[in-house]
Amino acid sequence: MASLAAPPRAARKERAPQWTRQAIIVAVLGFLYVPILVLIIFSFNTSYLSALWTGFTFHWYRVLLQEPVLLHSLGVSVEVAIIQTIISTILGTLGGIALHRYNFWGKKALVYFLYIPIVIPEIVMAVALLIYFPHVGVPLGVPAMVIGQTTFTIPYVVLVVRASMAGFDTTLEEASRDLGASELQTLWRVTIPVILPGIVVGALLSFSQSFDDFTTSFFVDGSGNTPLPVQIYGMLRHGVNPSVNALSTVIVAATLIIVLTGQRAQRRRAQRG
Amino acid sequence: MRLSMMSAALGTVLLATTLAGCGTSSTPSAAGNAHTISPVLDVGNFAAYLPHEILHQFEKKYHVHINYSTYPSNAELLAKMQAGQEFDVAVASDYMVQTMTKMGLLDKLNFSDIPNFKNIAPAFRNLPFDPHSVYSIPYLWGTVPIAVNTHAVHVPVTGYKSLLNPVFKNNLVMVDSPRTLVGIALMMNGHNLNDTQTSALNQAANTLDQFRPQVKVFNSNDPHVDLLNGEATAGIVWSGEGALAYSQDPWIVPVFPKSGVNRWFDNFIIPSSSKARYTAELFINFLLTPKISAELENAEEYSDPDTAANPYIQKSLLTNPWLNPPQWVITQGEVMKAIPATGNEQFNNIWEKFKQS
Amino acid sequence: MVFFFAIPNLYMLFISFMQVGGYGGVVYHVTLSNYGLLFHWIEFKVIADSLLFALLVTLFCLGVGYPFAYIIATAPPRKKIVLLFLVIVPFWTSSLIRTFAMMFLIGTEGFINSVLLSLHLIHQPLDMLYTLGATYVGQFYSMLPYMILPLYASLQGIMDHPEYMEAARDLGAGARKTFWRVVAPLSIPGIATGSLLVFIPTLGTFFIPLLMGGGGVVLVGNFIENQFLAADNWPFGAAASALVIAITLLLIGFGSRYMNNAFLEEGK
Repeated sequence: MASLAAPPRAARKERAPQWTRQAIIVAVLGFLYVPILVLIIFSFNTSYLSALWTGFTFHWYRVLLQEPVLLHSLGVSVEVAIIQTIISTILGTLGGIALHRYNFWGKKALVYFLYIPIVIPEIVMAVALLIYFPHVGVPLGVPAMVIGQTTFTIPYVVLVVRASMAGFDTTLEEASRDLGASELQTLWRVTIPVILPGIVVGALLSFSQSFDDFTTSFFVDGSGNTPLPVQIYGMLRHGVNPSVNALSTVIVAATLIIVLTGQRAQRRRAQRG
Repeated sequence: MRLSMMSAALGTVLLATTLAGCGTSSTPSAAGNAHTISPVLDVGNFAAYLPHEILHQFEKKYHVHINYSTYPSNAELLAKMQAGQEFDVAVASDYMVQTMTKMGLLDKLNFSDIPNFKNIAPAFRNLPFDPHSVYSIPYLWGTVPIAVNTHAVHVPVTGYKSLLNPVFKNNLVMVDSPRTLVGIALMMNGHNLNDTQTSALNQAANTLDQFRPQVKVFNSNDPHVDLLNGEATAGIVWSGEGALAYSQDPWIVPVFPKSGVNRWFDNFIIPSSSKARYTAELFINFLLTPKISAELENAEEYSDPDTAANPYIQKSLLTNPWLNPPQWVITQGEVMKAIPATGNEQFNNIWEKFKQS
Repeated sequence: MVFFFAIPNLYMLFISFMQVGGYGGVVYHVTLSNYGLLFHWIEFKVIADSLLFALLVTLFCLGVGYPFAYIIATAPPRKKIVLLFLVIVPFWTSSLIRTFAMMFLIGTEGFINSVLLSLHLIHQPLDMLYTLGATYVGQFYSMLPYMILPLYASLQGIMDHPEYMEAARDLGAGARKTFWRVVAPLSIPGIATGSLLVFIPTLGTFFIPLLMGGGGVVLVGNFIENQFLAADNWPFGAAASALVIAITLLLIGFGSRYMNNAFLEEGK
């Protein structure tokens, strides 16, 4: 996660009154969390389709375990998300740095062009890809999902990396070059560590966009490769019932664990460094 | 400069599509001949419409690996097929079977490989969209009646017009389907469900408009949830959805209006791109065996045209009024047929205007 | 990359000039009629509604997200980790699931109504789900973290350089003035990025209006989806998409110029 340097003195002094801060924190977090918490609590409710508490049960989790397809779908989603995050983070970071550093003919056009994939309603992009992939021999399934999602995740990474380059002090790079470092060394040793928070945010955006992607996957998932969101949508079709709550709870818990582990690793590295 | 680049790019695209067009047209009708069982079978179906245990049974019995994929609607199945996704066997609804037949996308079925076709009751053969039962075999069928929560509502509901009663204001759930609802408006005026004459459609649009203040939610996916959750006290929903609601709350009952009920069919088809035709026919035949067919209906709660399956079907389903409509509905319910694109466009325009007004 | 986004999009543009076939599908005859159809009032209304919707959602997100991002950026390290973590978790949680959670909360027999009814605060359940308001809430709910994270990244960058603010203070500016004259202008790239990240997906959203609005709320994403999946009129859907792309590119042209200016100022 972003660099966690101690807050500057100036900022500390000019903080808004303490109670306003607390109120905003409570309101925003409450808004973000109450729906999810209610959902989690009611995944243990005995009643089918009711928001009245009738008793505690693990029944809906047992129902879930009887659906091996869900596990398979989870695997598909993770696989696609990891592959495409790696691709889009690398390409997006390089793109973001290049766009910040160099001025070249057609730069503006290129920036516009980058936005196109995220501008287009995903559904349109999905249909465009669906009718286009067979023409170039990309099989529907994992490769098609990776490519389809990468088209709209790269621009996100570029956007965020560019934004974090905005505060970047270019004299650092000059100093590195003056000290005899090659272009590549400068990039790896100086530029990237400084903008790492931006890159991490970009990668997070990209991963969550992919893991969450419904529309594109829906069209190009091919046989036997149904990712989790599409599977969940199929389950919802069969009725909102507490086993969907249970599934959501499991996903939220897994998310929590992954983010926590990531944070831990990040912090340990920061401490060592 | 920019213009010339654009036209160059367009030219490339044009070339690509033309080439691709040639590619598809020159593909020979797939072999899949003789009676060899293919090791892999690509099956397509509507989402959550077939229990996985049944697929496993087939895989075990014939040592075939099934690639199962789903689609949410007929239109998407058509889009995927046109985009070159190959299904060995798929499921499509009534009018879509006819559309695909007209577009030359389907193969005739070889009925000698599907002896269980005998289990299909005569009322479910030679349906209007496939008048000589050549391209399709019905898989599940249903109707689109009125749903009423008789516990919450105490006014008599006898036909579509009853839903205009002020007690239903902002209280109805309707499936989001132009063909179905504009079709119902057509039937209310004494026209055929498939009528595409402009005068009939204009009249239908006016009829439909009266219902707009009554509708709270358009939901094709899970309208039974809206009925059970109290979002709606009545509505026009798929019979299977009604049956699901009924099994949770028996106060939610169907009404089959005398002015006309839509009867729909989902059917097995074999696309002409199928590479494993014989295996696909084995699969269809397998699903038509009474026990398997019953297992399917027990799990999916739609009506089954395979009447030989009745002894194995759960009692609660055989007595569910949603799945067992009166005989006149089975014989007189109107069935959708393919309509030309211009007619389709009119249906959609009426529906879009209706939803947004 | 050109291969995978340029060509499919150009192909789309190409289709938007074609005609629809006898039973759906695309017939390759050039026509402009698809664009003409877009100017019928109903299609026009859909586009205007969608722009307004996206604009308001973006403003709500900015209004709520900015103070919150500022609080995170200026919080003590330990608290900062916790707050960031709490923003990231919902952000990672499937938006389908979060939408579903919201539906469960505000439904007629949902959690809020059940609580209010059992406390006898109301006697009739409130109609919250399946309204335009619910659609706004759902979209706002799903987009808020997308605004907070880039704003935070940008504000953190400023906080890492306390010398700017110290300089302002040394020149006699008060806290308020320092914020408006130093922090706010420097955070413009973050605002622009966050706004784009919210505005763009919101303009093309389709399953949130479908689930929260009950199908009666039709935005341009739903309209396009419908042309492709239900009406089977690809050329018309493609024309509508082309128009959306054009509108958004114009907006982005404006936005990115703003961003570049901000970059330039910082370079000085």
